Amino acid sequence: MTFGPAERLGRSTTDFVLGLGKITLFSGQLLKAAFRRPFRFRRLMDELYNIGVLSLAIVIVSGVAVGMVLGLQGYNTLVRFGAEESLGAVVGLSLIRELGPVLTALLVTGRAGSAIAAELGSMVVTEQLDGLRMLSVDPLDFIVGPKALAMVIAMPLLAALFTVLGLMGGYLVGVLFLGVDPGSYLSALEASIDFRSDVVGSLIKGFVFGLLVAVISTYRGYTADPHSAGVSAATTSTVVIASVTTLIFDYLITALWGV
Amino acid sequence: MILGGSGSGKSTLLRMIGCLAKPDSGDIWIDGETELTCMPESQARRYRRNIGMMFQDGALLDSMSVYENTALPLREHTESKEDEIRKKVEQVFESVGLHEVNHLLPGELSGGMLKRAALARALIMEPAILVCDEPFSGLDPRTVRLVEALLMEVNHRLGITMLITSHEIPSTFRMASNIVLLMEGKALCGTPRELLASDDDRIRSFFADSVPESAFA
Amino acid sequence: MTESPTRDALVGLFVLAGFLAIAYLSVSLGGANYRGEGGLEVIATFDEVGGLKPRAQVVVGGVKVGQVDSVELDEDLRARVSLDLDPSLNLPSDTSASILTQGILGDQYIALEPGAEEIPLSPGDEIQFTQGALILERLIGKLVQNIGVE
Repeated sequence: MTFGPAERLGRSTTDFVLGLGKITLFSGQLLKAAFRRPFRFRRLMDELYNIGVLSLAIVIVSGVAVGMVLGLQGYNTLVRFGAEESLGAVVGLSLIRELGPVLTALLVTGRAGSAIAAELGSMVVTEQLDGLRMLSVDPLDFIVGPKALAMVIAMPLLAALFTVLGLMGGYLVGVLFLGVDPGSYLSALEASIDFRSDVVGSLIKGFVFGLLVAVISTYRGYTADPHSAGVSAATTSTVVIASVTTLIFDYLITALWGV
Repeated sequence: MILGGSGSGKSTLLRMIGCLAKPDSGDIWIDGETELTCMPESQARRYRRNIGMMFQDGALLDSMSVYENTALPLREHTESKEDEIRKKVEQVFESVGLHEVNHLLPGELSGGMLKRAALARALIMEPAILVCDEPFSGLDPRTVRLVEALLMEVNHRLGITMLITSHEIPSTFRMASNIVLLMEGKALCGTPRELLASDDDRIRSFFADSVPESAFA
Repeated sequence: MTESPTRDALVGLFVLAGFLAIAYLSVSLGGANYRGEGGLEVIATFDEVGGLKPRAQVVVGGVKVGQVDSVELDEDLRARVSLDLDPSLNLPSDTSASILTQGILGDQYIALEPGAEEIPLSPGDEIQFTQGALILERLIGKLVQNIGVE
C-alpha cells in the first residue's frame, strides 16, 4: 500500500498526538513510581554514578574547551572596539544563560540519555522487565524511576559545573594568553550577572532539560520494540527527540523567564 | 506441557497466564475463581506471587550478581534478615545444583547454569505453580537431559504444578502428564498416550519426525 | 548492583562539586551585583541619562557602592533614577552625581562625588547636584556647528 503525501502527513500528525498523549501518561506513572515507598536509595546511587559521574569527563573537557573558544572569539571581536575589559561579561552571560545548560543537555543526552534508552530497550528484549513483573516488582519503580530521578538530579549539577569550567576556560585564554586584566575580567563578569534572571534562569533550564531527557529516554527505552532494531531505533530517536526538544524548550524558557 | 512449533503462540500463552499480556478475546480463569483478563495491575502483582516463572533466556538483571538476582524477591517482599536470605538462597542454589556462582553476573554463566539460575529465582518465593518458557532451548542434548532431570526432581520434591512450553518432542513425552498441542490456531489436549493414539492426521504428522513409528498404537 | 564504597564516594564528590558550582554562580557572581538588604534608597534626577539601565554600577571614587534600581520619567519629563546604595557609607547630603561612560563605547554608570555637609543622605532623599550623560553625537554636532559659526 502506498500513501500520498496528504495521507502521510495526516498519519504522522495523528502519530505525533498519540505519542504525546502516551508520553504524558508515562510521565504520570513515572512520577507516581518516584514517590512510592520504599525510596530506593541504593538504586539511585547506582544510577547517579552511571549518569552523573560517568558524564563528568565529557562535561569537563567540553566546558573548558567552549569557555576557551568563547574567550578567544570574544576577545577578537571586543578588541576592535577597545572593549576587551568586557570579555568576562561576554563569556559569562553566554555561558550562564545559554551555552552551559543547553550544551550540557545535548552532551548528556548523547552520553547518558542514549545509554538509558539502550539499556532499557535491551532489558525489554531479554524479558528482564517481564522477569521483574513476574517477581511482583514493578520495573517502573525499580529500574526506570531511579534512572529518571538521577537524570533530573544530575543535569543541573552538570550544567553548573560546565558553566563554571567554561568561565575558567575563558579566564585562561583571556587573562593568561591574551593579557586581559584579571581584575576587569572578574569585575565585568560579576557586574553583568544577575542572580534572579541569569543564575536562577540557568538552574531552571538545567532542571527542565533534565526532566525532558529523563522522560524521553526512559519512555523510548521502556516502549522499545522487542528486537534489536527496536533498541537501536529507541536509542537514535532518544538522541534526536531529546536534542530538538531541549532546543525548543530553551527558546520557550528564555522567552518566558526573560533570561 | 505445551507443545507447538515456533510462532504457534506458546510464549504468548504463558505471558497471558503471567498476566503480562492480555488476550484479544476470551477470558482466563485460574482455579475457576480468579479471572485474569481484567485484573488491575495492583491485583496482578499479588497474584503473581503464586507463580514462579522461568524465562527462556533467564531474564535475570544483567547488572546484578546471580546471588542478588535470586535474593531480590526476598528483599522486596519479606522482612527477612541478611543471614536468613543468605541461607535461603544457598538452599535454593543447592537444590538446583548451582555452586560458587554467587558473585558472577548473569552474562558470565553458561547456558545450562543460566537455566538453573532462572529456575532458582523462580523457586525462591515457593510458588504454587512453576511456569517454564522453553527450558531446553539453546542447550546441547546432554544438558537438555540434565535440566529435564532437574525439573522432574523439583516437581517430585516440591510437589508443585508445572507448566512447561517446549518444542522438544522427546523430552515432552518423557516428562508430561498432560500435553497441549498448539497448531494452526487450535489447541489439542490429552495425555501423551491419547495423543499418540489419535488418528488425527495433523497430530500424526506433527510427531512423525521425532517419535518412532512403533510408538503409535 | 553490588555495593561499592568507591562508587558511592565518587557520587558524593560529584554531587558536592555540582553544589559548589551552583553556590559559586549564585553567591560569588549572582550575589555580587550589590543587593544590600534595607539598602539606602536615594533619588537623582537627570536631564539626560543616555543608555543608563537598571543594575548599572554606582561608584564613589571608582569603587562600587551600589547599583541603579530603576530609571523612569517624572512629572516634569526628566529622568528620575533611583539608586540602591550601601547605607554604611554616610554620604553627605550635598553629594553630586554624574553619569559617565566606561571607555568610549562601554557601559554607563553613575559616579558620586561626596560633598562637605555634615548631615548624611537619608533614605528617599534626592541628590541635588546632578550631571547628565554626555551624548557623543550631540557633542560632535555642537562642535560642527561652532566651527561653522566661526
